[in-house]
Amino acid sequence: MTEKKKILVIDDDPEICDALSEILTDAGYEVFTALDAPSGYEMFQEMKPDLLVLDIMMATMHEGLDFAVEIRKKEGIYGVPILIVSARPPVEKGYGRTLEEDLDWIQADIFMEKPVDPEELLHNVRLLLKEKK
Amino acid sequence: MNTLLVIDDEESTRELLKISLESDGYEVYTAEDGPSGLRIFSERMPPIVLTDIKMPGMDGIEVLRRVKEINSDAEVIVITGHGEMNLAIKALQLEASDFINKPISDAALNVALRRAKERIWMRNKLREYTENLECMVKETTEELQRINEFEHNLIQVSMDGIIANDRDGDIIIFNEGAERITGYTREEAISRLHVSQLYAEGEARKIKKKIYSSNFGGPGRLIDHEADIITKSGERVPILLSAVLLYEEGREVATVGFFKDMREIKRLQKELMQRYEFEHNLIQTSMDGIIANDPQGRLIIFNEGAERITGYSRQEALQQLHVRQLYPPGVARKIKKKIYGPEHGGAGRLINYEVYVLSKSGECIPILLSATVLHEEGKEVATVGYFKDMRDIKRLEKELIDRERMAAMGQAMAGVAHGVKNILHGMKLGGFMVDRGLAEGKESLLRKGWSLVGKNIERISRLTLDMLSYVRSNVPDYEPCSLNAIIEEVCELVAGQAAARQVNLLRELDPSLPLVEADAEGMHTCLLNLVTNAIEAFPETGSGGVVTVISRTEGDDKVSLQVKDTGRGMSPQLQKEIFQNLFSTKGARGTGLGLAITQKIVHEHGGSITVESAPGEGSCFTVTLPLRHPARRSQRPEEL
Repeated sequence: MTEKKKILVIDDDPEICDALSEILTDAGYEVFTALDAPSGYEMFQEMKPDLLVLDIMMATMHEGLDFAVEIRKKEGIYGVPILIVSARPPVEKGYGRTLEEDLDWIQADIFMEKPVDPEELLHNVRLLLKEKK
Repeated sequence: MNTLLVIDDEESTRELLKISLESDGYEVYTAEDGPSGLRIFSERMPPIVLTDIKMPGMDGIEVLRRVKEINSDAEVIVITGHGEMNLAIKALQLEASDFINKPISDAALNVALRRAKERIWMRNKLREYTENLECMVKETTEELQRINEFEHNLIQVSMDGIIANDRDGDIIIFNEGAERITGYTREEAISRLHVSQLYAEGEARKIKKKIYSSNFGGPGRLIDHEADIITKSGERVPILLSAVLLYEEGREVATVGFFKDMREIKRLQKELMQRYEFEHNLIQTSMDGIIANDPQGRLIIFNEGAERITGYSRQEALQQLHVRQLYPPGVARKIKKKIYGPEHGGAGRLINYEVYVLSKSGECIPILLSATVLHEEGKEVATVGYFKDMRDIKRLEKELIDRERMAAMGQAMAGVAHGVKNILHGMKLGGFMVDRGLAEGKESLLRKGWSLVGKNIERISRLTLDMLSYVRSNVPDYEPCSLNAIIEEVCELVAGQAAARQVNLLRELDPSLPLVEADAEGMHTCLLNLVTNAIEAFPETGSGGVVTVISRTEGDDKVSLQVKDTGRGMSPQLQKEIFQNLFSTKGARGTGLGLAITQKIVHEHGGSITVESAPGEGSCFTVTLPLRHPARRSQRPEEL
């Protein structure tokens, strides 16, 4: 039995954090949660997770995106995989008019739009952690 | 004048004359012979000389001759003896002025002297005259020259062409203006050009005829005759010709023609016409209605725009319409008052005044009226009114408002969609947890999942209610109400929420707060939103914090309400976004509509809402409200 994979969930909605935590724990992962980017960053340094699950809209409209960019800068392209889960509408200040345009630079491996299908979410988590099913 | 020279060889005669003449007031020189007399004469230059004819040596005739040589103006009286008449005559031929016989009588001497003096006087006068005359002639000549030069220059530099020809038609005067118009130089024209060459075939003859006839300004004159000059290059130039015949001693000697270049005049005329037409067209085709009426109210200008707006034709308006009839009853008088009053653009002017005009079919049409009183020589002559048809503008305004409403709705929809997405997300996760809990027999997972589903049902209800309150269109009911009482209600309502998060809810209410004209329900919503936000600025885990609600009297016409928290605070960027975007910092818990609704209600009350905050410093929302609800000052046109 290998060590459990660590997943860091960052979402400003505590209930969503809890739910994801339950679901991912149930699926056999070790889960940490943070409600905003700064505390998420601390947690990231401390826990060295194998996967990040990120919300975009937290205290600001694109906190999650900025956070992802920071992590990528620090870790490089082969660093920790990032799964973004967001309800962000496709039109926002300072970014492209559409999600498609934004995806060109969004530093995420997979982008999922809320509401997500939990089965699909688990599938993507396994994919990013390179676990054979 | 009173100096005399007496030349006589006889001493007795000399003395006698000297005494007698000196007693008459003359200054007398004497000499005993011709040479000494001439010497004295040369020195003293007496105007009158008395000389004896018969003298030894030089006789009187010789003295006379010499004296006249020295000064031809000297008067010489010869004294003759008996039988010397021939000598006397000779002396007279030599221009002696007179002779007297010996023995010399006083009377004869006096007569001779008076004559001599008269002659001198005459001669002096004559000289004066002559000198004067010469002066005058000189001056006159100079004057003439000046005039001549002036006229010459005038002729030369006149803007008009001036051409004179003699009876044969040869050109003798050809000024610069003529050069300009015809293209010939003066040298080319004078004595080389025949006047008829300046005109088209046969034209010169016609002009000549007209000069002689009496129908064009009198015989020998032609005034303002339009003709064409043929220039050196063969071009036709329209001119205005005035000509006159010049006579000398009754004979016709020359014809002078004055040419006005009509190109410039024609151009100016054309321009003037164009301008007039332009202005006329401008008035006629202006999109706006332009009308003018005289002081009696009769219409004198009524353009197409006015026709369009009012439905009257120009003719109808000018012939039978009084300016009063263009407005609803009594309005014209009111407008007149406003034109003369100082408040709308100054006395005698009215600017952008909203009013209705009455169309021919009796329809009230909203216009924007600008009017001005026209004066001529201090007298009022007309009033001009400009009508801007406001129907289109009103329609556009409405469209704009509709469009804005649509845009706001779009934004609201996006916000709502976002909220719904989050809620669905929670529900799906919850549902999944319930499924897994059931499948794996894990009760805790089942419980958690179910509770998440329940919470999200709660949220969707709240979102729906918020949406309803945002779009609610019921008219607010403004009546005096106690804001303190509303604050108390709200605090009671959220007490449970505050306690759950261990938030200390404080109140600092002004007991003398006056009643405010407000919509109680709206105010309740506002305060509930602000206080709820403040409480939710703290984590659910309950780390303790303070929320303070403050009411204050501001001056004698405003009150302020403040909701302060010691929570996480907001960046300046976020402070902008909270009102603008229907977005929530509460994730799926917020609908993003609360502050939007709050702001809407406050603005409806004629108040304002501001926020002061900094990250880590907490936030403070301030609502300022007027005591009296400002009467909604819509710019409604004149009441009918």
